[in-house]
Amino acid sequence: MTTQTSVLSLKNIHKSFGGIVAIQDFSLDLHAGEIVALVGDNGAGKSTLIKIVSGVYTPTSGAIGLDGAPVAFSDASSARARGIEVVYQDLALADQQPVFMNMFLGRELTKPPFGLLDKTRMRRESQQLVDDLDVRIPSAGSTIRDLSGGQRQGIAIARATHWASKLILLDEPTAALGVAETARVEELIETLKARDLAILIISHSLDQVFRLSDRICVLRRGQQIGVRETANTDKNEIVSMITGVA
Amino acid sequence: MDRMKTAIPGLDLQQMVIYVGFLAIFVFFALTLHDDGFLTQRNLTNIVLQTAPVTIMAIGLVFALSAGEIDLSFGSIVAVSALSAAVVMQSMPMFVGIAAGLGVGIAIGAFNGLLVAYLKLPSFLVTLATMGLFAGIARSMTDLRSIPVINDSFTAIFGSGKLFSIPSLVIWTVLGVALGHIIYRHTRFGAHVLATGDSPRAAQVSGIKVPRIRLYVLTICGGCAGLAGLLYAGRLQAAKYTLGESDLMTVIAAVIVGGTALNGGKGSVIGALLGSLLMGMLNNGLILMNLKVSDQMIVRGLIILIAVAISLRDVNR
Repeated sequence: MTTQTSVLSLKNIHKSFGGIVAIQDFSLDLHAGEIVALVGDNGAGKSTLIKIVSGVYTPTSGAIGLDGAPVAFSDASSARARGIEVVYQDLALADQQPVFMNMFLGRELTKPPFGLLDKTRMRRESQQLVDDLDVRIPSAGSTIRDLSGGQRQGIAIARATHWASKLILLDEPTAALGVAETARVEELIETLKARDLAILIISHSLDQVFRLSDRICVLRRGQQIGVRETANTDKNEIVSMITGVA
Repeated sequence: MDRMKTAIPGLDLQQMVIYVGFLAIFVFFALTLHDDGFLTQRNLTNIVLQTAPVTIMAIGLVFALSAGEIDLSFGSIVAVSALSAAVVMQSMPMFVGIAAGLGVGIAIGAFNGLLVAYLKLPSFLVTLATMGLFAGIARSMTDLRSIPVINDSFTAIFGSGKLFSIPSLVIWTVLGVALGHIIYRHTRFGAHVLATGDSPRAAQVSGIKVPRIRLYVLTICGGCAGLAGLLYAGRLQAAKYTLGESDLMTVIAAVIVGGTALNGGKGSVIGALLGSLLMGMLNNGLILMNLKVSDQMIVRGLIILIAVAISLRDVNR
């Protein structure tokens, strides 16, 4: 299921803030159509790693490669321009705005001759996208705050899908959701995989990690403990890797 | 994922209040003041003319509030701008005076904006301070004296003139509202203003330069106040430090009643126009009712209180 080319490759990434080492010697290759789960206790360095991949932090040392070519992101916008999208834990949606304006936030479509907003097209494309992904909302014109938690999560993921050409980072995508909504979001994540995107997911739910991922990467106190094929490991092994207790 | 959650689409209590309130007060005055000339074309036109500066300021404030900021200093900017234009025109051509008036407004707005956007100071406190600062400067500029504006072209353009028999103040109002509405609703900038006020974090991670938006909205506020200053100077044919002094509450009330949220992310330029017309109508009607000034203030305060309470109710649901 994994192809030869690695979409994202991280080689010997180090990150320290002053004297504090947040990430040491982290290496990982991500392939198109693959879901890799990043697990670890609080403070293990998962968020730091996500911020490095999304361009918010620059690694102290180490190399990032996209499709085999080395890249350096100056900020989050430059990572986005290269096809990397993040679904933040807090979703980063503007609650009082309609779905379609959120979908195109910061990248609104305009039409000639005056460069005014092309709301018709943004609405149509948003509707198309949520229909394709089977995110069930009343309409692309609905206001975010009128939607349920699962619907909002669906919108945030759909937005990332629309703009990501290579990689989506998901930070705790179902932390705030109930059982049924979690199942819906997990289905949605499966459909992204079918679109040949590489997916890096942070999750505290090991059940979810085992349901979704192809590989599991464990972090503990900034150190990469190991990477396992999900099919060839079990929860006991992962838990002991996370906690360091055999 | 139930579809029942959204209310009837298009029915927004906040947006409705202004229309219903506007109509109710209009009908009330039309009935009670029928014999006092409220409904005459001259009186109604007068309301629009007197409201023009308030409407222009209200448009600026819609942008500031929508971005999650506030400007309390626009009243002082009005006075400084009007005085600058008047003083300059004593010795220089009209267009220099116009540039001075507008330029001073834009510059003070940008000054507010820079402090808010890049020193990360709260706009409430910054503009509270600059309100006092520039009120003082307005007083000292001419030692409290009023400066006459005798340039006929200026008073025609910004005051009593007409184009195709339409009063210039009506043209300014229509132009301001149309331009404001288009920028607010139909440009990327407008969308970014709303997103910034709605969720600065969502805006920022979407690549929107949030500090720049904050700078721009406060600059727009200053520019609108500058234009309002020119309109006052044109209509009254004089500039004085008292111009704009009493407009703070009127403008804020007009904008809030018009459906703009105090805490950002939502608003309406058309609503602000109706809000200021409502305030103007209220002024006019209460004067025609022969109320004492003190009673006018009490009644106006109460009506604004009720209107604001109704239009903000929906926010806290």
